[in-house]
Amino acid sequence: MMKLTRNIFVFCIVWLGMMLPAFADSLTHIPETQELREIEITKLQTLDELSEQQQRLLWFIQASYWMIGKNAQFEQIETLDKQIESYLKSHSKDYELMALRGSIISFKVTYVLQNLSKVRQFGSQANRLMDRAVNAAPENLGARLQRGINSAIVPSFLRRAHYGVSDLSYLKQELGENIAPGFLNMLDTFLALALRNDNKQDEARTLWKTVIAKKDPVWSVQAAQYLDDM
Amino acid sequence: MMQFKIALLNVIRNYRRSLITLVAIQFGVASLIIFGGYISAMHEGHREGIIHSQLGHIQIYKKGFNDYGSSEPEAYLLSPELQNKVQTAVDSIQQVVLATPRLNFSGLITNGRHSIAVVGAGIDADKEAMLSSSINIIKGESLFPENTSGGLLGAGLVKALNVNIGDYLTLLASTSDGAMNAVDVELTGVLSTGVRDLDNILIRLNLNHVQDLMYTQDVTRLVLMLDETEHTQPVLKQLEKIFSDQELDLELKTWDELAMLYNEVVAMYDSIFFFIKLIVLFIVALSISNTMLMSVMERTNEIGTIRAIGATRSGVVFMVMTEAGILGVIGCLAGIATGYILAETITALQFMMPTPPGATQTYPVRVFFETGIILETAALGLVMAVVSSIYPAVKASRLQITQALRFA
Repeated sequence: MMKLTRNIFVFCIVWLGMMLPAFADSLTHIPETQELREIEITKLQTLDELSEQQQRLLWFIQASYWMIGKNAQFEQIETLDKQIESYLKSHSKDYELMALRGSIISFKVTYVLQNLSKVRQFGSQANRLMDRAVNAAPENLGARLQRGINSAIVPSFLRRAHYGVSDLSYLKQELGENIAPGFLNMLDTFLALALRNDNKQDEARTLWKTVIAKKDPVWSVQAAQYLDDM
Repeated sequence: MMQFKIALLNVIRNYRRSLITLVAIQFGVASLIIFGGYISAMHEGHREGIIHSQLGHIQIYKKGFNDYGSSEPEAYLLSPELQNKVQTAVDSIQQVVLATPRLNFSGLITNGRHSIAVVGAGIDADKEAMLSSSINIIKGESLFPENTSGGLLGAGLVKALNVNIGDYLTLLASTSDGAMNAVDVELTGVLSTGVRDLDNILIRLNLNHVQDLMYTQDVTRLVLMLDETEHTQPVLKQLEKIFSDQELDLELKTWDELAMLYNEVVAMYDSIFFFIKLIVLFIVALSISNTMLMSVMERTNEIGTIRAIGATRSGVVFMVMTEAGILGVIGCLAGIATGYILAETITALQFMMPTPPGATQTYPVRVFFETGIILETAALGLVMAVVSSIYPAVKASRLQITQALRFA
């Protein structure tokens, strides 16, 4: 159960990392592979002094790296969360980072699944951060991407799917034709997931069929799997 | 030791019959572990659900609120000065995650065509979002302090008023000195508490907005959220001491004092569990007794021989009961293993429960694998195995040696 939930997060973060470079102007660039992330982390950590941008980049890469890594320790995630929390106190308008912190706290839930009190505590904190980021900056693509995917993948009984639908639809609409094909397939796959969880099964089915027809090596397979599970 | 060895050899030698007994014990132990784990998970889910929707872990009111507050609410509000003192006190306790104020009111909300009676609360939107994780926003956005005139309405209320996100409504309520006042409310989100009746009347606004409506700076209560539910009583004691030392005119209620329905539900489920436990144990006992009796009957000749070479009646009783004990231990271990596998599988499969009566939210089935339940069930299984072998054991010990030896 814990591994399954963590794998879902890992899966999403991997693809977020791979796709983000396509929108380097509006979203933080994260290296595509674990190896590249590790190199970048080492490079940044060896610097005597980090600029704010470098520090911010380090957090984004570390978040991806640790959440994907099989040996990610709760303490590492906790430390990262505290560092970003401290930074956000003086940079309260960095909404992409705020939403990242929401994702990190949401990921922390996978470590405390046996403690419902903690699950609720982390879950509500994560949701609030992502909601606040999107509410304060509805045009921030990074914040909406973080919340959109997070809302799509969480279980339907948490009733967050409607956020997934609105955020991912907004991203598609804003990016228009400039969207990379792989990224579009990823958005459609998660949008369909959000639609399914929002009790819009027919729309979800249609969207997954569209993704399958595109024969994307990753997302068509994933969409087919979701479709089979319906 | 020799008798134990003989009993063990008997269990192994008659492995088919032993297997039947083992399956009965295993089934009984596993089913009780799963059912107990399911009830325990339901209690925890229900408990955390009510804590993280309305109640919090501890609520703090002005003294007398719970006795007289319903007839004279304005006389039992917490002043800003008192709120600050309470806040200082709770800040000194590490286990308190947050303390959030609420100002409760009742009034009428209108869309210009229809008016509906509502009950509501002015809240600190940021803190309340942390506390009320069981209250879901099913449409629109959460409430934020910046949306000064924003409001969250229950799903049933929104449906009855036929309004959409962004629409403005008018809320009428009486002020703290009894006059009538009205404010505009912008619908920012639709909420679901999971309780249909509450969703038909509930409205949540920013605290400042409600204080403007009611011409007051006071609040009805402060609701505390703790890091762990288990810390409720220790924190309560600390707070009582602090308030007593500072001579503050306050009263405190814990979630279990406020959650009458929860206590009734727990009592009901516990009695159901007890009844089911009795039935399962009876079936298991019957099965063990039956197979042990068969075993004794089949071994009449053998028992006669044992008695003929000098075994006492009590020796035979001990041997049969030891066999049952061995079967009980193995059956319990197998039952625990089966219970564990089934509990993990059921939880991982995330079957959804049907929506409970009067509720609007469903939740996945979980089964806890709890040490207390395991030990209790295993002990019961073992005792039942031994107790249900008493009759066959006594019957075996009373066989006449000569008749037993002639038994074909």
